[in-house]
Amino acid sequence: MAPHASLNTSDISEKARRDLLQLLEGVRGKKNLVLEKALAGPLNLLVKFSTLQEYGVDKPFFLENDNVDSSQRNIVFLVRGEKAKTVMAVANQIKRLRNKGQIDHEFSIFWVPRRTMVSDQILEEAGVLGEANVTECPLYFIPLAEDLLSLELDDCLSDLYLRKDPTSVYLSAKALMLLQQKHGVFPRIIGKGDNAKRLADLLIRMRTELTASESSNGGGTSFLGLTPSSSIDSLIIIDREVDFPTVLLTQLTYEGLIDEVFGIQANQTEVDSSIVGAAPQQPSQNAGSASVAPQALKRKIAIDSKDTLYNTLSDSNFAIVGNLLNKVARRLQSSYESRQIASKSTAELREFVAKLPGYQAEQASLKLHTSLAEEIIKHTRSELFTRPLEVQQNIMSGADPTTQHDTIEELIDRAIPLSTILRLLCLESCTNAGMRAKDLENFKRAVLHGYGQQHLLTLSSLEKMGLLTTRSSGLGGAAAKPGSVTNYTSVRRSLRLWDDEVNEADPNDISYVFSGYASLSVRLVQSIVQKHYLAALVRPAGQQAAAAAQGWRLFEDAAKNIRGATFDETQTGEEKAVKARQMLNGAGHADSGKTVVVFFLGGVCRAEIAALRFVAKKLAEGGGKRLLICTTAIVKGDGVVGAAIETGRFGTGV
Amino acid sequence: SNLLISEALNQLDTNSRIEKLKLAAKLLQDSRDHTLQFKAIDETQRLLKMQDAFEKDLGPGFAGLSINETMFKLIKLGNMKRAQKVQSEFKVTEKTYWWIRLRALVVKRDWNELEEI
Repeated sequence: MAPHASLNTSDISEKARRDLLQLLEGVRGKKNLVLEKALAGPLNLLVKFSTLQEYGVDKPFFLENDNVDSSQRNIVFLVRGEKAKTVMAVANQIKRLRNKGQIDHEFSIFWVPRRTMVSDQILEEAGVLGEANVTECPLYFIPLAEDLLSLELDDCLSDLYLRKDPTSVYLSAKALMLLQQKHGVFPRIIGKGDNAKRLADLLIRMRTELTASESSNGGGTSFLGLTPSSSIDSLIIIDREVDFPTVLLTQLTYEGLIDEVFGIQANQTEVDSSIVGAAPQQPSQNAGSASVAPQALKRKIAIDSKDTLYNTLSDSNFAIVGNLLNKVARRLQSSYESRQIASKSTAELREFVAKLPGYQAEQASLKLHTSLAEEIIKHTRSELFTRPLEVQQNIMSGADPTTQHDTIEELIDRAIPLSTILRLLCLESCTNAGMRAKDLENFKRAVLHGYGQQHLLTLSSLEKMGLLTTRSSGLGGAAAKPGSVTNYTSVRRSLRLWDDEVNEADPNDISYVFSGYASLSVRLVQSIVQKHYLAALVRPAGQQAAAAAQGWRLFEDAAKNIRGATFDETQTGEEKAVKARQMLNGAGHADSGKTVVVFFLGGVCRAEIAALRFVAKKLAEGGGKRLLICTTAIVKGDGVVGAAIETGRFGTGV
Repeated sequence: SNLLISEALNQLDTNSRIEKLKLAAKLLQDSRDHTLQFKAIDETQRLLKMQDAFEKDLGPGFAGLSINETMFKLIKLGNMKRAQKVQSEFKVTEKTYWWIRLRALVVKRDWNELEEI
């Protein structure tokens, strides 16, 4: 048996692709594919449409559009089976098609990622269960980049924290189990947060279940797969609940800002074509103001690590993106100019021509990113961007939040988007363990007046998520029950969350992504994998603590002040298996090359990813571990509060 | 009561909406923790009634607006008096009112009025 290869994300996408295509192959003949909209993006990352066509897919449909026609006999549904609503939609479509039916349709349903009891029941009640072939399509992690895996569960945030629905915990556990089966058990599971604890418990239980069932089958040979992994160092689970403020802040990296301004879905962003110049008939004066040209064509742009220019830009602070672009432009120009000089010998010419496509591609991407950056600058210069940012920075640096209230009130009066206001309010509430009852009441009234009475529901949802609370209500002050709320004032000091001397151009600390604030979640990860560095940062010139501390050691005090359970479990395999493993690998495997899996339960924002990549780079320089970021979904602040916002309105006139 | 509010959102005409809201309010009446919510529901009812009246006099497009938006629209249509009435009815602060007035007048391009301010 080969030792576990080091974790590789392309393996995962390869496997997912194979699984999917195999399923499609199982349905004979041509077929129409019905997709859930949320799955279209991830699917696009895995397979090209032309490949799907090769496998007999005739036309793709969206489930939401409700327009499947009967042009093909076979109809394949590829949908998530977790939500009763989508299952109902599937059932309705099948019924509709059957009633229309001149042709005898054959239905297949692929539940992503698993078949549930509920879905079966709903289908049965609708009377269509017997007519469809139901299978599972185990699509879990979808690699978005080399070091980034996502489950792409867009609703997981509201599921977890608003409706307290643990489905996504279960799905995460399943996904992580698959990793374990392939690469061996995580030798250590460290985490923070109540839901994270639940996930870890689930993982441990699943593992024992698996071992139990294996031994009862008498299969003694496969236990090697469940020994501590030699390629993975540990799993770190961070619950989003632990660190809401980070996602509520405006992200200041290039990628983060693209997400804030345009939105990114499965590595694709949709930008007004007038900005990036795909539709020439649009007069350039109109560029940018989406309100002027709402009917303008949207252009989809794939942004991923294939674009080398984007790679260098995506994680840097936006303040320096302009300079970077400028530099690249200069370089390109000079290489073009060198053409005239270089066109002496044919060999040189040939060399130049060979490089030409590369240059052209680079030029195109340069043009694209320059126009994107310009658009973002336009956005960031507006007062609607700078004022909230100012408030955010003040709150995070620990200024008295009451001084910010006037600004927030003014912003409400000026009717800036509700989500921005809610982000600010929630931020204040989260960092200060709730707001004073009187202030909160005033703000609630202002929000209702400003944005409509239907937001009564919004506010109560936010309260339920623990985002917007009154101080010392129920939960008790921070002193009453340590671990139930995050005590920011103390954590700010002990983990050095605020950095006054940020260097955006040449970052020396993760605080550069937010221009000052070092996100708590990433600091937690650092406190596990980068102890020396962090310890030196927190206590400059202090006594260096013991070298080989593991787990939470050194930072227990800080962790205590943060909301949610803290845990640290080690998983060891059977003695014999471990020994066998060591024999296979040659004992004394060094620490280098091992992977630390960081799992964000409830989503991660792009700025955090940037910060983690920065940490990873530092680790790699030290010849140490690799970081692999896993998450349920990529989120941004608007999404967090958006989960709570009530979209209905009183009145149909609008 | 949240359930009733969301039901109220789904109702089609004002009267049935108000009925639902009344039910929601009744549930909260006796509870001491929910005074804010109770007041807000009460406000909603009054607002809906007012908006109904405005719609009769000034044309459609009022129902569903927030209080600030209602004032905004009223000023835009040149109905200062009614806007002031809304302001006093819901105890909107002076500062908020002036912001709204400023924005509305700019949208209306009523520079004369703006100068008077």
